[in-house]
This record gives sequence, structure tokens and C-alpha cells, in this order.
Amino acid sequence: MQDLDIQKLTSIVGQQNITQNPTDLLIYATDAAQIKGRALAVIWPKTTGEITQIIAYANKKDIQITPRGAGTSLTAGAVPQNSIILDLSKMDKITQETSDTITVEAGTILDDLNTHLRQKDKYFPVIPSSDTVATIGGMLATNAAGTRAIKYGKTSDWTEEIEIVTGKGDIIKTKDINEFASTEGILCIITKATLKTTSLPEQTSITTYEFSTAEELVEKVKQLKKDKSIAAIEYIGPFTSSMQDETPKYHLLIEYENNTGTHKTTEEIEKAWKQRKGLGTVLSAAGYPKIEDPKIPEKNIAAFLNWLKDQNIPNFGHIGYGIIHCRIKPDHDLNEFYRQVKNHNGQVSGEHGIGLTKKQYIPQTLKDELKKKKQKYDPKNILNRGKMI
Amino acid sequence: MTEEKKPTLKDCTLCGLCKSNCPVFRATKQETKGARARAILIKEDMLNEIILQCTLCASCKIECPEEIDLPEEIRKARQKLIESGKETQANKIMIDNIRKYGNPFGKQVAGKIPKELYCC
Ligand SMILES: Cc1cc2nc3c(=O)[nH]c(=O)nc-3n(C[C@H](O)[C@H](O)[C@H](O)COP(=O)(O)OP(=O)(O)OC[C@H]3O[C@@H](n4cnc5c(N)ncnc54)[C@H](O)[C@@H]3O)c2cc1C
Ligand code: SF4
Ligand code: SF4
Repeated sequence: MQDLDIQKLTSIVGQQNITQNPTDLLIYATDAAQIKGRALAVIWPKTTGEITQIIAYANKKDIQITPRGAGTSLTAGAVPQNSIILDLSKMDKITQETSDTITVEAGTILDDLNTHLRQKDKYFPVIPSSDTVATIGGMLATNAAGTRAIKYGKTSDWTEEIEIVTGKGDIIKTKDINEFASTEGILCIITKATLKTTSLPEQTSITTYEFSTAEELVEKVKQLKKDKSIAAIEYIGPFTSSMQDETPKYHLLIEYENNTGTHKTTEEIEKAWKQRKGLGTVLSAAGYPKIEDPKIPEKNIAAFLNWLKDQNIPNFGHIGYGIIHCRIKPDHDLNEFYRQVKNHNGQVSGEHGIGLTKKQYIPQTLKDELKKKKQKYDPKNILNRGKMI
Repeated sequence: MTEEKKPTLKDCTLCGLCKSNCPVFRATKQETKGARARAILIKEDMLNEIILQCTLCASCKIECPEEIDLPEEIRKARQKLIESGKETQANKIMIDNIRKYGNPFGKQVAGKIPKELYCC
């Protein structure tokens, strides 16, 4: 790799939008995965044109680039590896709007978008818990989901068109979202997205249940999934419940987008969600800071939950969608954990992505598929080198 | 009854949620100017002017899922900076003016110079 020609890069983005200050590089060396890498510089581009020029320069000089949104990746996806950080946060404009779509630049924060849309009683319904900071580009690159995935699916399901700059420097507008969603910045920089919007639900309500066994829990989930008015089916495992001073049973929370549920007032609904959303803090404080997010097929969920129970691994998650969040102690051996995920025909990640931390657990077939795409869109391997594959 | 332990920056998971309403991040859109940057620098004991670029609005404290009192940590870090002689020129001038004139602007105004100095 050659030395950075900072003057050249500065001429592209302007002095205000590039830094090599050691403090700045330290701050950008990490993301929410708490793993430290090394950044050579940080650049805040403001246009797609600037990005193509930076990519052209990187190809010529064999410089690596790590795209970054809000840096909430839980798998070190945005951690630099002797690379330039391309932080898209300043590309945050709404560029076009129709009655049921909105086109935004990739650095737009989801919560800002939804604050804007709510004025028209609309919203973008895929809402990860990091929505107050996560960017649309980061959400598409990881194909983020959220608590209401059972009804609304993933970010790609609500995206009509994207504009990207490939590793080769080509600007492409495409409706083939699945070609690029979930590829975590290893093929292209997402610069713009046309997103579908929907009306805010007129009413929501909640019902909660308790079960003694994983089998009873899964049976109920199966039944509930037939009801199309349900937007969220969340559970909390017995070990986790006991840490919240609740009965050590499987607790199920169902959110309806009508008044079917037993808890109908805003206070009751907020109280129920608060308990679910406060889990992270309780589990971190109890010594389980790491989070895994395997996706398990419905028929194997009960067996997987029983295995977790035997191992004393606290868990909770979007059970309606098959995502089981497991909280892990820092010294826990994950090899056996992922062997069990595989034995239960599960996917390594249901929503957080692969990044650096999970790449040793994904199947070779997926790696081969990604390598083929890499050859097509980023043959010089300048984008997010070392991630996923 | 055991007293509940107050979360500290040791409990910080670097989740980044504290920057969501951080006015300095919102104005600059640079991670280096936001609340998580200050959490990182204090954790790493690398105190510098970024610690001073904060309004102490406490929005980060409200957003933090770990319930960490980041503004309090920033206050302590500022104290350390001042003790080691690192403060901004503007700050020095203002303090000198308060001592001399009883106001930060350096103009003699009517009224008494206070015996004690207060700050937020
Ligand atoms: C507290 C917390 C809660 C979370 N909850 C959820 C949840 O409910 N559901 C969920 O799915 N995830 C969740 N996550 C994970 C994370 O928030 C998501 O993956 C999110 O989509 C990442 O967005 P970001 O803007 O922070 O991207 P970053 O973390 O900056 O980047 C993520 C990946 O995308 C790439 N990337 C970023 N922007 C672009 C771009 N414009 N073009 C190409 N590649 C790009 C990066 O290189 C990296 O590989 C959570 C994380 C935290 C810290
Ligand atoms: S919100 Fe809290 S835990 Fe998250 S980065 Fe900020 S201080 Fe750390
Ligand atoms: S107290 Fe400081 S760091 Fe926290 S949100 Fe306000 S300005 Fe940002």
C-alpha cells in the first residue's frame, strides 16, 4: 500500500471534510463492537461525485476504504483495517418525496426520517433499536431488522431503488436491492435510497403470556403468526426473566396493530415495552455484555432454547421472526455456540450482520458467493477488506 | 439492603446512542465531536479540547441505555484538564475577568464584585 496523498484527497472534499488528527483517528478506530482497528484518515464526503473520485484514487493507489454510517455495528463492520474511513453522515438530505416513497441520501438517520414522515402520518416501518442514530446506508448494508420484523421484514423489503458507487467506481441506480443489501460495504458505497413508506397504525395494543416450557411457547407463537394484525412477537427466556425479578418462565409480548390486546392505554404499552427494552442494561450489569443474534427455523427453536437453558445462556428476542438474542460472557467459547446454531439449521446472524467478528462461523458457500460478487464489483478489493469473507 | 452500584464509563458499551441528541454532533455530523467521542477519550484517558466542546446539556445521559452519567464524567475530566493547566484561552480570559470585574466580559459595571465564584 502506498502513502496517502492527503493533498489530493483534500482537493476532492475540502479541508473541513478530512482529518488525520490522531485523536480523530482514535475515535474512528472502533464501533459498537468495541474492537479497535486503525484508521489512516477520516473523510466526510458530501456528494456521490466526490465518492467516485475517492474510489478512483483508492483504486489507483491500492488504498483501502471502510464505509461508515453511525458506527453502531455490533460485529466490527465499520472498524477500519489500515484504511480510510468514509463517513457518510454529512450526506443526509431528503432529495425527493411522493405520497408513498421518499428518497434520501445514505447518511440520513432513521429517526430523523421518521420525525419528518410523521408530520404526514407516515413512517418507515423497519425500526432497529439503534434507530435514533443508525443511518439508512448502514441499515441497507447490514439489512437491519427490528422488533416488528414479523410484519415488516427487513430494510431491503421497504427499499424501491438504490444508488451505489461500486468498488470499480461505477455509479449504478438499481431496483435489484437484494444484490447489494447485507453485503456490509464490501461491494459498494450506498449513496442514496428510495424507500417505501406506510401509514402509522391508528391503534396498538399489547397482550402478554407466560409459559413454563419452550415447547408451549413455540406452539403459541406458531398460532399467533397466522394473525396478520400482529406486528411484534417478542419473548424473554426464564434465566433472563429471573434477572429482571420476574417469574423464571418464558414471557411472551404480542403487539397488535388494533385494539385486540389486553393492554390498551399508552402507559400500559410503554410499561410493557420498557421492560423488554431495558433487558440489555440488566444483562450487561449481570456480566453478559456480548450479544449474538442467530436465526433459527421455527421447528428447531424449542430444542435450541432448551440447549441455551442447559448452558445458562440468557436469551430473549424476536421469536416470531426466529431471531434469538443470546447474551454471552466475555470469556465464553463461541465455537460450541455456533456449532449448536448450525446443528439447529440456524443462520449465524438474523440482523446484526457478519463483519469481522462472525466471519469464521459463516458457511463456505456464502463466502464463495460473496467472493464472486467481490470480483464483479470490487476486483481490486479496496472496499472493507477483511470483512465477511 | 445493598446499595445499587452507579454505572460508570467502565460499563460503556460504545453503543453510540448518546450522540443521538448531542447538539455538538447534530451541528457537525462528525463522530469526533459527539458524545461517544467524549466517552472514548475519557475511557482512554486522552483528555483534550474535545472534552471542552460540550454544552453539558445532559441529553447523552438521558439516551444512555447503561444509565451512565456522561456529563458528570465530562465535568470531572474538565477539572483534570484545568488542574494540568490545559484550558482554552477564552476560558482563562473569562475567569480573569470574573475575578477582576465580577463578570466574564471584562467591563466594570455597577454593583458589587461577588465574594465567591459560581459556575454551572
Ligand atoms: C444499541 C444497539 C441496538 C441495535 N439494534 C438493532 C436491531 O434492533 N436490529 C438490527 O438489525 N440491528 C441492530 N443493531 C445493529 C446496528 O445498529 C445495525 O446494523 C445498523 O443498521 C447499522 O447502521 P449504522 O449506520 O450504524 O452503520 P455502521 O455501523 O456505520 O456500518 C455497518 C456496516 O455497514 C457498512 N456501511 C455503512 N454505511 C454504508 C454505506 N453507505 N454504504 C455501504 N456500506 C455501508 C459498514 O462498512 C459496516 O460494514 C443495534 C446496534 C446497537 C448498538
Ligand atoms: S450511550 Fe452510554 S453506553 Fe452507549 S456509548 Fe454512550 S455512554 Fe457508552
Ligand atoms: S452533555 Fe455534552 S456530550 Fe452530552 S449530549 Fe450534551 S453536548 Fe453532547
